[in-house]
Amino acid sequence: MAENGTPQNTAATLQPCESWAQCLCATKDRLVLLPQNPGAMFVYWEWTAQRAALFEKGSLAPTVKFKLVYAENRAPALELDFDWKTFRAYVPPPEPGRYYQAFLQVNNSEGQVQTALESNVMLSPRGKPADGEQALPSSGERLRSSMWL
Amino acid sequence: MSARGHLCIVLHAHLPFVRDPHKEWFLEEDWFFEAVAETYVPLILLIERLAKENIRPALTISLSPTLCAMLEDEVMAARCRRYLLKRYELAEEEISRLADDDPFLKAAVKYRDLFSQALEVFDRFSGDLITPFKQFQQNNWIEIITSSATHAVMPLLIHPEAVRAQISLAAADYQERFGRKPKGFWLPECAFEPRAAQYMKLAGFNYFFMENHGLAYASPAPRHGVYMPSRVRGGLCAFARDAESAKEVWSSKFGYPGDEAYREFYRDLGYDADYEYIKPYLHPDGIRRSIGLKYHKITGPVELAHKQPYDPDVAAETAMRHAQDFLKKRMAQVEKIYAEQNIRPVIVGTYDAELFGHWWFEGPQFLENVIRLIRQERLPLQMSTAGECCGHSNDTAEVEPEESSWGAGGYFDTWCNDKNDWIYPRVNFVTERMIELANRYQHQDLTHLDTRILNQAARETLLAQSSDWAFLLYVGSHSEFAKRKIAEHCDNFCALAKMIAEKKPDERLLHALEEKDNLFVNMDFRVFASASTF
Repeated sequence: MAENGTPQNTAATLQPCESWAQCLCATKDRLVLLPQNPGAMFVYWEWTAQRAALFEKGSLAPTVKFKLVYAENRAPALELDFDWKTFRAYVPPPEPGRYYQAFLQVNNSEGQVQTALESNVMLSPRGKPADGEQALPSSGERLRSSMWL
Repeated sequence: MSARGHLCIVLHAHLPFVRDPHKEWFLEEDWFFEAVAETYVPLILLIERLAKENIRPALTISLSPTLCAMLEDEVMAARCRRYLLKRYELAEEEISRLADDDPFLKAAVKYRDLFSQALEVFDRFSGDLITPFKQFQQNNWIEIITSSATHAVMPLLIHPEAVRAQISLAAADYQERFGRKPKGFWLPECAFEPRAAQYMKLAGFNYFFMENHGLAYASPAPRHGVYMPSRVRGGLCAFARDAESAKEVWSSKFGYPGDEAYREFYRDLGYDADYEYIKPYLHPDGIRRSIGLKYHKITGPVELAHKQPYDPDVAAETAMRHAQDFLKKRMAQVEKIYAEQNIRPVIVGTYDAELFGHWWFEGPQFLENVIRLIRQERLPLQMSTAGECCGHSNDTAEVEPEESSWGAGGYFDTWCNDKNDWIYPRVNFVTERMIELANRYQHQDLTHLDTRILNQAARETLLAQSSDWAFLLYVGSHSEFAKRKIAEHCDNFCALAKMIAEKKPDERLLHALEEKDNLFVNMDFRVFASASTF
């Protein structure tokens, strides 16, 4: 406890970490999609300590399969393999402007599907004809990068 | 001559919640004081001057809930007054120090007047700067709108409950503060996504603003492009930021604020003055920093050391010239659209309020000139608030806008990139747990203490969601502060959730947190419940 009565950062999960390895202390396995721009979505996942231990021991295959589907009909959109410790990636959506959902398939050491994490549904921005050309001046960020910072 | 079109100027005023009564001095608090002295008070004064001349400013001003909470807070008011008084004393001292023929004297007098006026306004309203804005709205001089509870970039919130909480709390906060239901909503960073439209409608809003391309490329394309508000599916009205008027003000190459006669932002007395002389005006750590007295003009593309003395009179003439140029271009724009489409277009100029005065020192003069010139020159252009323009379109087709923002590139790169993406697991973790708590306890008979704990947990969750932390990390300035704020709010949440889970309330800690993060006085944690009635 700090002198003023506010708590100090004690929960390891809540430290602002530079290293994604610290995310190993998640309370449940989790897969999340966030939109970045028409050409990229941000993907992250977290493992509980128990799940991480299974990877470490070799009970689970070190490669996990990332499966992106179109949310409206679950038709496959993209498949990628990642090392289980990757934790985060920027993935290009095959078609901007569509709703996506992702699954992260974990196999056991015999190659059988052990579990699959399910993400939220995310809308990828469609993109505009002007993309790739010079964008309009964007106020908020130009301003604030100029004024107080 | 009847108006050929409408000019709708929207100023979005926002600062992150930096209040901390437990720390006597800290750098980030100065953001608020500087904005009060250089932007909010000049804005209040220009509205008063125009109104005295029977010129209705008709500005649309977005006041974010976090800013409002600080503007009416007694701790912030006392510290702000201390800041203004100290700056006033310095300006007085500067006038004594500079000789009559000193090229910097005029600027020193300008600063003395600035801080003197700020103190006068501050004291007139007993340190509560919400009051004048409220009065202006009651007099129908301006329209005040709100923004999301803590300025979250909503497309980056994965939980719909969080999007709804950000919007519905903003509506409730506004109603409580301004005594009426809000009509307009400022999407933080103009970041639009379809869920937000649904919840804005449910919370009772009539209209919102978005980036130009988000509406220009909506499906189907709006009949009048971006020069009329468009009806969005579900019944909301969407206004698009006008690209031309944005460029004239914002562009680093062509924008007005870059004129060589204007005040240079980066050269400051805090660095130039003799150390012993300036030390009493620095923070107690004694480190040289900007203190707001800047004596040089932009001059041109030269090093800071070679900047020339600033002349407020020449800058004022330039602000007038720029206002005339701005209106000439708006008139040409309006005439062209009128001729081509036979409509009276609504030109929507959206700007961060703090641009006017803080960064662009002459910005308030420019704005006042624009509004006054429309009347004096009897221009066929009408200053209108967004609420007044909502019903102007005869296009009844509903459109689906595109996901977009006003950040670089037009999407969400600024708030989600490899410098700041680590925050999302933490923010989502806390948000998810808050939703779980709300679902679990929403129908239970709770003690007053447990209710307070849950309400404070909801406040901490919202504060962790602020877009400002991601932005600070992205630009790499005040990053330690941003990291600390995210950790602090998430950690506070965890401590509160633990009290509930273990049935071990810590009243001392709860009180300390309530005292510090004291916004949303009437918070009801149930706003986060999955089947919320909010």
